[in-house]
Amino acid sequence: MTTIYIVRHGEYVNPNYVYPGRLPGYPLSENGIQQVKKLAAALQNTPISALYASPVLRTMQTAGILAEVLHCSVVPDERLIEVHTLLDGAPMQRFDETRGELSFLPDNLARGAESMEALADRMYGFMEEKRKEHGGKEILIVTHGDPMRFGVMKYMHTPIEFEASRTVSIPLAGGYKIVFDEANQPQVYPIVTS
Amino acid sequence: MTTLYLIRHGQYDSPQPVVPYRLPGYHLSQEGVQQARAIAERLAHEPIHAVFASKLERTMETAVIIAAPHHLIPVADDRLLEVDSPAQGKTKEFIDSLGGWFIYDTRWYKERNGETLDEIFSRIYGFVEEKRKEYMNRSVIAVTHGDLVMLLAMYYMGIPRTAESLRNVPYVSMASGFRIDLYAKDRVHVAPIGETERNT
Repeated sequence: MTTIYIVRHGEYVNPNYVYPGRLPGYPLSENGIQQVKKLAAALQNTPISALYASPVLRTMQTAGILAEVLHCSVVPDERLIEVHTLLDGAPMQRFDETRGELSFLPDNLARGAESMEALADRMYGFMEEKRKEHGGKEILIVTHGDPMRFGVMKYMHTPIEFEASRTVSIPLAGGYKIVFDEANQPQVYPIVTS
Repeated sequence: MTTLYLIRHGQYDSPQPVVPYRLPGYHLSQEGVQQARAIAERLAHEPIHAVFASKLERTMETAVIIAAPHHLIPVADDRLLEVDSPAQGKTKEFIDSLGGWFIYDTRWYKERNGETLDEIFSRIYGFVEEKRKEYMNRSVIAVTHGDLVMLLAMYYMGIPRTAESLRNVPYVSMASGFRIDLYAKDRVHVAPIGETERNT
């Protein structure tokens, strides 16, 4: 049995309330650190063979806290990075007004932003590669909200479209446990931190 | 109207011959997986908008099987958690010595401040009232434990909330439960679903 844990970073400092995307900066807040410690406690008896993380600050900090508790090292991987939106640094309110769809709207996609399908394929491709590489083991991935959501949707056979994507929640310092049986059929569980 | 499918977990393996209540490590047995698949199939074509579950292994594993055809991942809710009981980890023989499964009215249980029937009911009922407003005109599934299923069903059926009632009313089978249609003005329709249909 192979298991992939995929989680989102904790809460981060964002005084001007902008969309941080792939920008440098935006460290975990004090509350975010506590959230990640709770997540680490929930996973502490799990033998993690490998820990991969998106290379931006908030995900690397999240991975660092997890790595310390779980006694493993962090491997940054570009393929786990936040969605390519062309909107890094834009007011977050614009995302809120569209329930997060902003980057996936046709005019933004026409400018070259990453589509939901491309995002889902990127994350699914990464997870499938690591599942095969670590057969029979348990691995942990630290990424961002939408990359986590669309990757999980592939395993759930959820249609890759915006409304359907709202059924997969993206908790801070939380996420999903994907368990693969002998036939590599996935079952998706929530990671419960309380 | 809001429809709630209230389902009990499937059969589970006991690594130790004790009553688990909230103890971790009690997973579905092969039989339990089959039971969960059967109820999942029954519900596969209902328009389900969300699946909630107690976070314990037997309920979460049942919920994952039920949620999969709907492309949903269960959401853990602590109001669906098993009874907070001082009998947790005790043997079946010990429970029998107190007079059988429903020990809520025993002195032993009361003296150890076990969760009362009213307390259990009020958390499951709070969950239902919240979801009924959140999911107006939609359907949700909640996977929980036997006594919680029974206390809610008994309430809607007008059966007194006592240990005596629990002993006398046909008890919900594994991976079975009730369909509860909650209409406006507190009109409610309750129908058994799964194994329970044959029992009642």
